[in-house]
Amino acid sequence: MIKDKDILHKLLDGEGSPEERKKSESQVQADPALRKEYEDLARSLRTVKEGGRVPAPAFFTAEVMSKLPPRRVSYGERVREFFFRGRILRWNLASGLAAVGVVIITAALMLRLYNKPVETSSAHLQGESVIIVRLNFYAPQAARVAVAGDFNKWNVSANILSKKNGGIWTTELPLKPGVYTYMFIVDGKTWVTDPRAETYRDDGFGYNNSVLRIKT
Amino acid sequence: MTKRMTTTLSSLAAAAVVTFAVAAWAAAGETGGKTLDEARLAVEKSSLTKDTKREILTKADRAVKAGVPSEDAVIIIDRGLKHGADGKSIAGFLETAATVKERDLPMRPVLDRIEQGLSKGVPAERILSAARGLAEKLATARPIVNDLVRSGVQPVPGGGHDDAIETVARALEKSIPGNAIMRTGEKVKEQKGSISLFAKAVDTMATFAASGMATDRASRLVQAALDKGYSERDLEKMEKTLFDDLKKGRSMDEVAEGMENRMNRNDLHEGRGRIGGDQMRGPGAGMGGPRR
Repeated sequence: MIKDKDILHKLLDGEGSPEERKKSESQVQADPALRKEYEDLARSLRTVKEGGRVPAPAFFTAEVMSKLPPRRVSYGERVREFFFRGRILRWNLASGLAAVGVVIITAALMLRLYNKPVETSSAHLQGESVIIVRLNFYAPQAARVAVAGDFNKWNVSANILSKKNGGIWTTELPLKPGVYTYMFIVDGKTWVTDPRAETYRDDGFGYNNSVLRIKT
Repeated sequence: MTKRMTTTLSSLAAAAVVTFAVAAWAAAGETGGKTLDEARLAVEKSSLTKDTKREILTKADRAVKAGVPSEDAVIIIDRGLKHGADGKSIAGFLETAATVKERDLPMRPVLDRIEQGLSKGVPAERILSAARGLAEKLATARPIVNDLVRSGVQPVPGGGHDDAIETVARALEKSIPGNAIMRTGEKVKEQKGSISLFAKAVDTMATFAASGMATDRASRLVQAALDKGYSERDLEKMEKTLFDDLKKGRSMDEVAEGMENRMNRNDLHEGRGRIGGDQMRGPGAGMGGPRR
């Protein structure tokens, strides 16, 4: 029986030499049951060929696998598999664009929330809500100059000035319109009022803070 | 809901969470990022006594519950410990901030004074005294400002009311009498000015007094300026003139007399409706800025 099936498959697949094929055909014609089976198989083959190739869906394998009955595994194995199993991320252009949109909107909201200013190189009045103010301080002997004020909660490390030619130290601060008080700190210990400030305000401790007024 | 929709929504939610977390982390990094829990840990690790540690932590919780930003509570604790402030004072700072907030007074000036004092290395007990003093003055200032608004001084949108309370408190600290402040308010009302003009006028009075001018003279000068219809910009110009003259080595009497003379000549007055840059009066006036 197995030998008969073998003959049929060889004939249908076009295998073997011409003599062998001729011999096999004679055998099939001689046996009515074998002939019927051969004809059925040949018809099926023709139907398949006429139908053409249908491409498998993109996630055919994954879907087939997901429909297979679950394998009995221990809890530990399941945990391990959950963390280390390879996953197929399904996506399409619409969901990809939507994700990009969510990322952009969330980032924009966060930037707005924390009001991160855009730095520019000019000294005054850039943009509507944040203005870049350049502070200069002359201290040729200083090794380090910082500025602290109510705009940075008097943090002596937040805004360090950079040294330019001729002993001038400079920094740029992005600030909203308003009135600010500040002082320079030289070498981390000496608090100095800005001699170039237009007005001053006492700080309640015997120092004079410099006043910076930023108008819209 | 189909499986595909579920997957898409999950992806979107995951993307949003990841972005939010990254942005929040980045923002925390920008502000120093120290949390209240880290500050609590620093208190626990400090050499303070157990009772003092507990007191600081209790006051910190109270302050944050009252509405003091946790960032400020962290700064006070962190800076206090770093500068060697005693535990009682640190607890006192937090309690003062909490009390101010609970009384619905502007808390920013008090927080600013504490944070500034700690940064500048002012002794803790002096900072505490100054912060408590300011809190009392803020409480005294509020009814003065409220009465003015009720009596017809124009309110302004935004933080104008709190600014006025803060400047009145500052003026009271400089020993400017309450009746002089109220008289200034009446002048503003007569000129149909806003609470913002009132705040600027009181601010100028306080600045003059803090620079060494007698308080009655400072009040008279500013009230005379209001009588002449001076704007906020004009009052600012008066302050600049004062400091320019002082930088030139003039005595306060000379400065005050010079200012009175200029006011009589209308030199410092641009008018309320005028919009534009400061007008240059020539080198003698010491106003600086471009000549127009």
